[in-house]
Amino acid sequence: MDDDQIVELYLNRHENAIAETAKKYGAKLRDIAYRILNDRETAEECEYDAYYKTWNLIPPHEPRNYLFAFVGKIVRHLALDICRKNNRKKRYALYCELTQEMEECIPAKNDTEAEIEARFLSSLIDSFLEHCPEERRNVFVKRYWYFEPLAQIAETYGFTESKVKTMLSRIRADLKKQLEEGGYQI
Amino acid sequence: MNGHDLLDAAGGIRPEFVNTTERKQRRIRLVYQWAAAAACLCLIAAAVILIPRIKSGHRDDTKDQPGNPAYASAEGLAENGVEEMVNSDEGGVEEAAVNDSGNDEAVAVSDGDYPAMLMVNGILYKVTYVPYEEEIDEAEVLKVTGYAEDGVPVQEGEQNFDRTSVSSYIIIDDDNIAVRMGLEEGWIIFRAETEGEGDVPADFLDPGYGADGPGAEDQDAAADGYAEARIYAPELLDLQNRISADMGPDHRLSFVTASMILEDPDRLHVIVNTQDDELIKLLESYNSGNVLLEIEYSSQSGIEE
Repeated sequence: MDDDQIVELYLNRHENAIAETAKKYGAKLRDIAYRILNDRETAEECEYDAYYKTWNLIPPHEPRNYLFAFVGKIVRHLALDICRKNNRKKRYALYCELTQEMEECIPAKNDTEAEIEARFLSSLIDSFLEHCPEERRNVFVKRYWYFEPLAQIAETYGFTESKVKTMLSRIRADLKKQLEEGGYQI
Repeated sequence: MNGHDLLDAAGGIRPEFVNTTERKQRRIRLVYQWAAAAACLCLIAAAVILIPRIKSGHRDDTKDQPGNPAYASAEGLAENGVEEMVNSDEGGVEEAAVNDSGNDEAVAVSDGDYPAMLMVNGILYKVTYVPYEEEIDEAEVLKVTGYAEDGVPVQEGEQNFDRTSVSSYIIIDDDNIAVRMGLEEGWIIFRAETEGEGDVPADFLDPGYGADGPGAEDQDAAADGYAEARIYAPELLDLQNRISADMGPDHRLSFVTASMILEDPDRLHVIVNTQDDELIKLLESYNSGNVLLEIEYSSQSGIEE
């Protein structure tokens, strides 16, 4: 069943909507959550919560062409939220690694108190990715959207791990510049 | 803003970026799968081509293969003090500097290997690795005509050391020719193949007698002969060919059990198993020229030796 039909089920409040979503994207969604949470049970809870939220968000949203990205965004947000709440346990190694990496992109460390609207931040990242070469953009998305480990990205694209690492480091430096230009420096 | 916020915000990127990454990944995996399949096919094709060649001991194109005449020549050159090797694929001897010892012995080659050879006027000449240093009259220079795939030249002008067939030669005398194995290489003497050198399998030369004739004894008698590498008179060859064509069961000369040119290149030796005058006259009628036709009566003809 394609995305359009599944979204139609949501719109019609058909109970099969969640089952079809799980059938089509369940494994991938669970993987995203598991990578960041490093716990199967919690990852599954995250996945089910994401279906519930999706059920509540469609309608009004109608992600007919991007259902996976839509539910995936919810899953990763939920997983990241769990990590933040339990950050003191220090068991989310990948989460710590990724947040540290992302902090390299923040223009001014003392700006952490500043409230930045997430949506605006996303639009800046969007704008940055739009001007990125496809290869770099894909690596960025694999790392910071799918939370994939370096080794897996390297395998997917046929690079060495060190090349992926170098590529990501340059991407972060460029993103930092983009954020500065977007008005995030003090 | 902290790392978490930024990471979370990255989740809000355009869906097409996420979808594009997925499609890209699938495409790359497909490319890998096809590449792997293509590599497997190449390996199978290479195996299909090479394994039969290896099993049959085929003399390969590769210059370093022991079965290749060029290899034998190169090996021989090295043994005789030549500094650079023969490379038939590139057109011949790189630098045929032979030592001063004047060692003109043809290099013995192992079973299945052939020395460099060239067929001129029906005679097979074999490499001696001795350089020919006399002045060359370019007007007398002749070109080789082809490459003997089977290792032993059988056609006029055919050779077994130069696949490109750019080599040339001149005739020095009845027993010697000088060959330039390539376009710009030195001249090397090739000597006429003679009995007993034994480097060439015996069956590559037409023995010149009819093997179909009845009587094992006659065949043994014929087997005693050999085809010496000489220049034969055209009349002699013509007579030999005509008699051979009519030999064998159900042919006009079925009583002729062998026909050969022995030591004397001006004489055709024929073995018959009959004394019938009519038949002998019939045989003699084939000899319309001045060729000496020597008739031998075998034991089956009834004549006591």
